[in-house]
Amino acid sequence: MGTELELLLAVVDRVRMELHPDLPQEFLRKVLLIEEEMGAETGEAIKRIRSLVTDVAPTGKDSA
Amino acid sequence: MLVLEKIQMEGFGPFADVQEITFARSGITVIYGDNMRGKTSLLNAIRYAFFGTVLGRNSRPRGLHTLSNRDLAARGRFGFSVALSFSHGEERFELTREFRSRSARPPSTDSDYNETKQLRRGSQVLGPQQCDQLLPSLLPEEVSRFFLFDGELLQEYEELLYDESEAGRKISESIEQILGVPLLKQARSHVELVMEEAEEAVAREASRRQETESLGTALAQATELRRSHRSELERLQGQMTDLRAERKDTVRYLKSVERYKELMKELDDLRSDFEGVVRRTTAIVDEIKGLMKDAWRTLLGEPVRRHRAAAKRIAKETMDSMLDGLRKRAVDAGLCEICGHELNSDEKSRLAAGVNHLEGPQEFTLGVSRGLKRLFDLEEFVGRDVEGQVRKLEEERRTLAINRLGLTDRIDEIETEIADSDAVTITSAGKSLREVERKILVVEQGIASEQEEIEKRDKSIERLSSKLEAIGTTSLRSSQERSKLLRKANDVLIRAVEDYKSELRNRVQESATQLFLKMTTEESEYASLEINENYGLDILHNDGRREQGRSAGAEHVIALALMGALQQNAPLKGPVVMDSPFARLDPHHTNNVVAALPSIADQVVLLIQEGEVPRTQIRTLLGSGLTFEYELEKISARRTNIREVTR
Repeated sequence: MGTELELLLAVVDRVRMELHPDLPQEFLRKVLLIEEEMGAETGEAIKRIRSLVTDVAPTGKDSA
Repeated sequence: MLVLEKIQMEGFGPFADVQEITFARSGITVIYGDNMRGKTSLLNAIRYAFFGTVLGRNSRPRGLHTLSNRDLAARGRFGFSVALSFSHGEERFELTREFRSRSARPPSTDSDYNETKQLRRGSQVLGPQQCDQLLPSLLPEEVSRFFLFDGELLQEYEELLYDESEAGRKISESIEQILGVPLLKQARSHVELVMEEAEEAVAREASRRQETESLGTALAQATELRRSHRSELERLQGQMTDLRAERKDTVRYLKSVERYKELMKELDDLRSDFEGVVRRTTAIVDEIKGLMKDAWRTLLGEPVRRHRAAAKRIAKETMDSMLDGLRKRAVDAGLCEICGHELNSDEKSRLAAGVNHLEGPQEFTLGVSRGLKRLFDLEEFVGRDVEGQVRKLEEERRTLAINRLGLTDRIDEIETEIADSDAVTITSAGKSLREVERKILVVEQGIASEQEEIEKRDKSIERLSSKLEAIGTTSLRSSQERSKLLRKANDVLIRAVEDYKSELRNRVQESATQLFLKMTTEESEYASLEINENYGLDILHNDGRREQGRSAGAEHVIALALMGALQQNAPLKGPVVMDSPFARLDPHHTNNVVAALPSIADQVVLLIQEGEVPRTQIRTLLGSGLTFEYELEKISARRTNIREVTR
């Protein structure tokens, strides 16, 4: 599975650079890692992506 | 990468005693076996170890209770066990499954058995739950068709060329799975869901503040509407999956009905063949019994032959000495005692010259007549070759027994296949297919219109969100940032799925072309293979023409090229175990395919009947690529042993 993830990440990162270079690469990498780790556990994956967003996205306070 | 190391079976199909095969870690392992010796059982044993299931004809699941060795079953031992050792990356695994009858009574269904399984990783024994989680990630059953297959399964890849084909859709899903696409698709749908939540949060917060209230309310309405369309879309998609499954089942059923008549005809023929075999067997047994009455004579054959030779010699000597006596007395008396003729001097001297003065009876006695009669008796006695006849009949009886077994198996198979077909259900299946197709059409329209609605809402949400952002409310900043981040991530993932798929398609097309040109005998005629959206492959001629109406053989070569291409490009790599894949290929193609096997996968196990390719040829074609050779050796009609072939 390791190789699979590397391949996916490479593609995702290339598309990211093309579409939204400002989008944190780390975020997408973490999303894919969660997906791989969770397998068929959709509910848990969503929960973890939700909390990941809070970690990664700048808060209102910071930007203010 | 998954690598098979060793398999051990006991009581599985024809493998009554414990049988074992060590696989070559890299290179080709070839297993030779005639028909009905257990090639398919061996493939099924590997399948059983990994998935706990086996396949019969038409790739249909087959009841496990039918797999117990018949010889052992006749002695009251039902069930079997399979132990498979394999490695995955650096880790070594040992997987054991055992299927045993619950009670002493003869079992008749799978539920009469208990299955136990154990997975060992290195020296650690994993619990059942861990085992159930781990196994599918090592080799998911959905993609097993790329690792374990026979000629019949290869034929199915043709379906990939037809857009509407249900079977094709399923195969193309499996291809995407082996290529790793689902992970990306899943990430996209999860991010999309979280993105929608974030947008809803922005809308809720905005509608609570005076300066953004109207925009917030509009945004809340739009997200609410999108949510309801989304859930309707999900419902419809679920319905569609069910309908498609129903259509597939019905079509399969109707196809089986088409076959129903053929099968009934075949069944009639088989039954009459079977009766013929039984009749002939009974006749042979009677004939053998009759012959066996005189069989003791055969034992006396040699001494009788000796005595006969001696008796012949004695009879000749007796006749000679009697004639000698006759001549002597005629010379002495000057008169023939048989006819009374008086002899002149000439005749006398001629007869006197012929007298040999032999020992033995000089006159005809009763003993001589008895001796001659005995000689005739002996002639008749050894005249009957009972032994040869019995041997010939026994040979025929054995062949008939094998035929009978084959006939019983096929009759059983057909009877199971047609068990649930009758005229009433056939008619109603035809009706329900039309009904299902009508529903599919309606649901398809529903899905399209829901998707359109969602797209509209998406646009209005985007518009409203930018307006809100332009207002620049600080308190909204945090949730707006989250929503923006997720939208971008969603954009990236949507495009990434498409990019990744198209990149993979190109790579699969490239590798498949190379393999195909290696295997085809028309390499000067064909330019390449061309892949479609479903991963179906078309043959392109040098002049750009598309090959029409491909033969079954061409289909196999293309399917094998696709298998190899997937192995080369998929993140999930493993062994390829193929059962009699050359039946539809001519000798030239077969040779090319055998020679190309090392490029199809790192580890290949080939189950083959020597009629397809003789072993000397396999050795020449594969050279050092051929690592191990085994042979399925017939012990009896229901027993096979596995023997390693040494060169």
